[in-house]
Amino acid sequence: MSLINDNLGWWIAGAIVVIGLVGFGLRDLLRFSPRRIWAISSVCFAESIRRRVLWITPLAILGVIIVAQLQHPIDEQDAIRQTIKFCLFATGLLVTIVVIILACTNLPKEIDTRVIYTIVTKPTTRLEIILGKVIGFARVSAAILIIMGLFTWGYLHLRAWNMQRYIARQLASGDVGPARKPSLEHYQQSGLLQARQLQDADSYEIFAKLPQPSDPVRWMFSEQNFIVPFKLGLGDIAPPNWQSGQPLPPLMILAHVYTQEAPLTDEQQEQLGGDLLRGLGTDTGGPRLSTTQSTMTAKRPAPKVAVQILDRNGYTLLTPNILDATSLTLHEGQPLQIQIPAEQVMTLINHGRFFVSIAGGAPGWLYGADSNPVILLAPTAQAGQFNQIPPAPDPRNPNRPTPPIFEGRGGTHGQQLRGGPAEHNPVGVYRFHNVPVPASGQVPFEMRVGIERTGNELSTSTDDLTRLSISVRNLKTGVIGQPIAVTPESLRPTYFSLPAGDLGDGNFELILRNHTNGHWVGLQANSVFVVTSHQPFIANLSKSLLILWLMTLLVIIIAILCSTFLSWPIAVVLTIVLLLGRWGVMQLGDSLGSGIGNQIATDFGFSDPSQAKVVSSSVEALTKALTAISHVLPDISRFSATEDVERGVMVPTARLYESGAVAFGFGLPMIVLAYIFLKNKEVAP
Amino acid sequence: MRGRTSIIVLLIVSLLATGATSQFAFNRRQAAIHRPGQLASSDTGAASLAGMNSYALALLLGGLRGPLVMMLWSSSEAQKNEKNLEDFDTKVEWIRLLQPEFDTVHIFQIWNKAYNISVQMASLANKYATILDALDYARKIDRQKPNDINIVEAIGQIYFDKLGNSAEKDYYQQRVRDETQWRPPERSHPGDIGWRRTRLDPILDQKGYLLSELVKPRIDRPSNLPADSEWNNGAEYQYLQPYQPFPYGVSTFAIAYNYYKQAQVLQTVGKQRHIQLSSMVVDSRPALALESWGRDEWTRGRQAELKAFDKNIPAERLDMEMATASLPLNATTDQPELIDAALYSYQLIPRLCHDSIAEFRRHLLSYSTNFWTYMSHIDELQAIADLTQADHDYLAALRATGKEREQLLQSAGHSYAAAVAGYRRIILKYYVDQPILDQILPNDITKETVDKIPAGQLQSLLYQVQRILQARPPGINPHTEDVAEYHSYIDRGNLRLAQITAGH
Amino acid sequence: MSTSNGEAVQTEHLSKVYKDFWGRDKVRALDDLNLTIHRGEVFGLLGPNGSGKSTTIKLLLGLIFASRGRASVLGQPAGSTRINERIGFLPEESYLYRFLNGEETLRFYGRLFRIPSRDLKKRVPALLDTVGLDEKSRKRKLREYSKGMARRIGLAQALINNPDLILLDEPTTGLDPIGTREMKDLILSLKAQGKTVLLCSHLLADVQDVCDRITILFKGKMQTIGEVRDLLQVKDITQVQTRGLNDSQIQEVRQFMSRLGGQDTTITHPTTTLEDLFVRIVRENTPGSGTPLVPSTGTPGEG
Repeated sequence: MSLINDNLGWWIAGAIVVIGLVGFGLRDLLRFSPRRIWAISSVCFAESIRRRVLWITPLAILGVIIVAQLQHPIDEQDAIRQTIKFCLFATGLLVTIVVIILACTNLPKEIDTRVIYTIVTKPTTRLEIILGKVIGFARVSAAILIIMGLFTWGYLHLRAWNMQRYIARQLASGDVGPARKPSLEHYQQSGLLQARQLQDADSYEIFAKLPQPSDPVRWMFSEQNFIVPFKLGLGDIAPPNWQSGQPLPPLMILAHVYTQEAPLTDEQQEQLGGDLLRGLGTDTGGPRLSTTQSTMTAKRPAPKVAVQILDRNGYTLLTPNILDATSLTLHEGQPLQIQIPAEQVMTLINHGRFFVSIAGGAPGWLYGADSNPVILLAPTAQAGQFNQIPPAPDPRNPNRPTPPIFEGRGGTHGQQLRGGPAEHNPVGVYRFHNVPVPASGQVPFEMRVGIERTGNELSTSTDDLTRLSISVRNLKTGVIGQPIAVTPESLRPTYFSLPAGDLGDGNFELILRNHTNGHWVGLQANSVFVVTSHQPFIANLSKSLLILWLMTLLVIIIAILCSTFLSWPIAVVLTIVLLLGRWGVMQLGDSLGSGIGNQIATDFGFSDPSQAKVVSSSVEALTKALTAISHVLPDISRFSATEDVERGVMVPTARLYESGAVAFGFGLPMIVLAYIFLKNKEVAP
Repeated sequence: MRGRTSIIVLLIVSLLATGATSQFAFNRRQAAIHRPGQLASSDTGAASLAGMNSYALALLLGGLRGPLVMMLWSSSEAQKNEKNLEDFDTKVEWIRLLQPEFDTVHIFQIWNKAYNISVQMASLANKYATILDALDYARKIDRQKPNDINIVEAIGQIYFDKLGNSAEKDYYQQRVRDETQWRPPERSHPGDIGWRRTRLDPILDQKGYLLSELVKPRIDRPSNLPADSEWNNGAEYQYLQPYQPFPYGVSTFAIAYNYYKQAQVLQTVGKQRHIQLSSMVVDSRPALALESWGRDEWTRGRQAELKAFDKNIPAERLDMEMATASLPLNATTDQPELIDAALYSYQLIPRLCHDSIAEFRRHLLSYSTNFWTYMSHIDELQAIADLTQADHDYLAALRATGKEREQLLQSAGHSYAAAVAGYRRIILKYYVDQPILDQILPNDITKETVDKIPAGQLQSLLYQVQRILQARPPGINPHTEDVAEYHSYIDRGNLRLAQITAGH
Repeated sequence: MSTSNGEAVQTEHLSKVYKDFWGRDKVRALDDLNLTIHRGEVFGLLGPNGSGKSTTIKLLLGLIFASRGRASVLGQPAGSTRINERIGFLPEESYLYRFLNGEETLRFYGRLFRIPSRDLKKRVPALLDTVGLDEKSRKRKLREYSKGMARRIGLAQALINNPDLILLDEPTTGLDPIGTREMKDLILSLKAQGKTVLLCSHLLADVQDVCDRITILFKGKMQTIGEVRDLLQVKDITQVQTRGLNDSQIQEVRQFMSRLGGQDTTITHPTTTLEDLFVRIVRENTPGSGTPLVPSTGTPGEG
């Protein structure tokens, strides 16, 4: 079902092409002549050129140059990025508008002026006319793209050259802040116009201390948590002869968490002081405590954890409250047992994949987990007998259950890497696999992290940078290289490089520590990249122009299709609607999910339930129809040509194929439709 | 072909004509706002050039301007919320160009940059740079529509509230001090694409005087203006001119005062109204800015004094009072330049205090809402003036000899006594509850006439207050902290008086 | 295709009804046309404006589709692309790409026939010579052409493929007398080459000069068909021509004739005979025209 639903567009496309060509145009297909098509396209092209269509390019160029003067970039690289954006945006807009107007007006105009008489009375098939026009306008768009591409290339090189001189001047003058200098030096070395291939890490985790390969247990701070993935099917737990509707037996989570005393941070001591004082009132049996520092650290609270279940996106599925596991005290050597209520078991099965999350509770402890800390127990038919359900298999080693994944506390910008002195600060580990590493030299990396500040350390008259140290562990040899210091700014790219020798065979870990107290670095999966290769800018630009050209090809086809049965102004509108339809529905996105009907009914304040029902169900039906239609429309977001180029990232070849697939997958049936329409059209006005 | 050429020529001509017409309208409006006088012609040239982009853009875009602005607004705000600032500034720049006439837009964007965007930076340097960007934005508007009370006030607010009083103020204030001082011209220019302001432009020359183009009057004083009337002469730093030179850089509060004063004069004389703030608020701000400037200098003076005599500098200014109070009259230092710095501050503070008092008095003539509050400010400013005048004379006496030393010590003694009396009166007047006052004050004296009590009786009155308070059941006294602060000034004064007496 | 295979053009009950937006009949442009044009003849299609000549030609070329009936051209269904290889068509006005020059136009159409470039190099100048476009005008864009030049280049493109059947829609409009003469000579020479020519015109003299057979259409219906000679020889009408009669004498002659039993007597000044025929057909088919029409050289039957 989903196969048909997901590929509905492709099925329809295939059907149109086959039925259209075989059913209507077999004879015309046999007469197919590339020479005729080329002749028609040449006339189309010549007409556009002689009508001075290309004269619009200097206008667009002028516009780009003017607009580029009004930019207000963050830095030199951003100036280049914005300029690329303007250039490509103007190019895309210009070429789209031009081809829409040309292609929509062409056929209606030729019919109107009866020029078409002399074409169709020649031995040209209507298929050839359609194809000739498509190719003709594709040539026009290629010409515009080439001119704009050359301009973009030249203009950007001029700008980059200018900017490099400016950077050199700044660096020479010496008054560049410490936060800015590394970036400027990086720009000076690797240039502003670049196309890099980036590879991001396979996984990342945050630990209380760097785990050694020989460590059976890995550790986290009390504000952290670790998660273990499970995949639960009905067959795993349903008793024999179970029927739908019958209750399922409850499940049991069996977890083993290690503990270790940890030094308290100042903040925790403060917090703990409060907790201790509060605790004193109820603590009747124990000896009275004095409130001195030593006794406070001696009498740290018992280690506690909270357990919850998350869905595959990391959102809470079952809260600690439901599991009755808000604050479980850990006892040496004893596993935790948490019952999943029977009525919740079905929820887990419906979600398929979920995570058991165990979060540290009381401060002053490190919490640890071995490679298989959590299993699920399902009761069997025999009383007291349980089936063991291990975690989901490790994707890297399917014979083993997935080891726990350690997460930092969630912040605004991702998992927080707390800054501070060495014994208090956690360590972030990014694991890279199969990175192509050169034999020698430095391997460039890029990092973009968000930084939060507590605000306590703001009253200082000197700037305090976020100081990170980064070192690399070769996973093959286990050797850790010399750490380097990096000072990132929040959400700005930071560049650093590591010796190729340290990276070994391309399987390595990047080890991050944050040394600035009061600064919290937010880590995300794509915060750190390794640059694996470079490409000349011109190649990247060409790729993106090629993608734009493929897009215009689709635009031309749609425009010509519309113009076969509509007058040109309506054809223009319909073309735009067809092009933007899917994008528009996507923009509406989540708001079109189920529930929108109810929401609208509520918003409009229908108090009568029958009225509300009518409204909500019709809105639901409408949105379903809209979504269904949008599936048949072309997905122009596949033609995202600018994003990568402006960021200096190599446009993946797969993107070209993707664009080509959309252009042709949607274009071919459109051509066939246009052909059928034109074939059955009386071309006399 | 000829037809087309003429159409193009016509378009260009009409573009220019539109620019000229709007410039004309702009001038008329400015003239109307400044009823007493006209703008000098030198000013309008710059304004028309700055505004040309907007007119050209608006004309070229025609009806698309509205939708475009709407799109830019929503996308820039969305980006801000997503903390993705990549094109944010460019979009704001375009909004500025497309909506040049709307002050609320500009006030919002200035505030947006100085507050919302700057907090998204992690390092103080980048936070500071973002605030400077807000200032640049405001200055661009100011060039485009000079003497606009909304914009001038907004510039003042950034210097006063953001650079002067935010959590990061220590860093900001120091940078403003440093960067206002003269330095060799930079090799990078604001015109360079990719250029981003990371520091303020210097406003002082090598000797600490304001750069001449910043104090050059640009608007002639109208002849029909009364002789005693205030008047903005169009110089950027008109109101800092009397305080020249600034050998140690300019305080952020000084700059705030300069703009607040301009805004107040635009309101009082130019009859402009601020679009968001009440006229009372605008009118009171010059006095408050001067007071803050004085307190800023006070801190700097104390710091210099402490450093000169190798004392640790406490984090709080209040803790600095007593650290040097017992400085003997024969104390010496090997860092005389620090004494110079302290003397500069101590000399400037009384002046600032008196000017601030004058501003408060001027304000209270028109607006009496906060009479009692501002009277306390005035009394306190007088006490600060006396205390710092005394500190100046005392410090100067350390280096002086003979008769000059005698005179300085004598004057210091007088001033310390006045300061001590002043602070005592303040405590009595503002920090003692009425029932207690009723018990202790002589019959002919009320809260309002505490000034009439001779200085000699004040101490014993305060003792009585203390005794009454101690007899009361323990509770929270809201004035404890303030009173403790004043007592530390009184203690400093008394300690120094004791030194002077001992030295004789 | 072998030329012995059937007629050049054959239509059976060919009808065309134009419909409006709602599908209702709007105009019956052609009604039950049965027409046969033999190979090698010059056939004239006559009729006033709106009589269905153009509709017939469009139907034969496949520009529009018949509502009823069939038409075949050179033995194939009308409008089939294959037949177009052997057809040349000169439209009413020269509907050509106005931004191409003469040579480019011919080369373009030549390519549509997949004529090898080598052949085109020879054929294009030869054709341009034939239709009388000089060296200079060949390089000019078509939008700069005079009407006569446009007709010539139009004719040239119709002949680019050396067609067996040539449809000429108003070939002489816009041509000066010499041009007209040349056009007629060309048509005759095409006939001499064994080609079939379908001529569509309301310039009757032209048709009379070159056509072997003609048909006259009016209001979508074929009124008459036949050899020009036969059609013009009207057996039941006697035309008296004389010189030197005054009006009263003419009146006497008229009375005399009616006494003899002659009907519908008209005594006119002489005109070209085809014109006469044409006018008569138009008049007969115009309802409510009781008053005798005064024949003229203008276009009759506007209603």
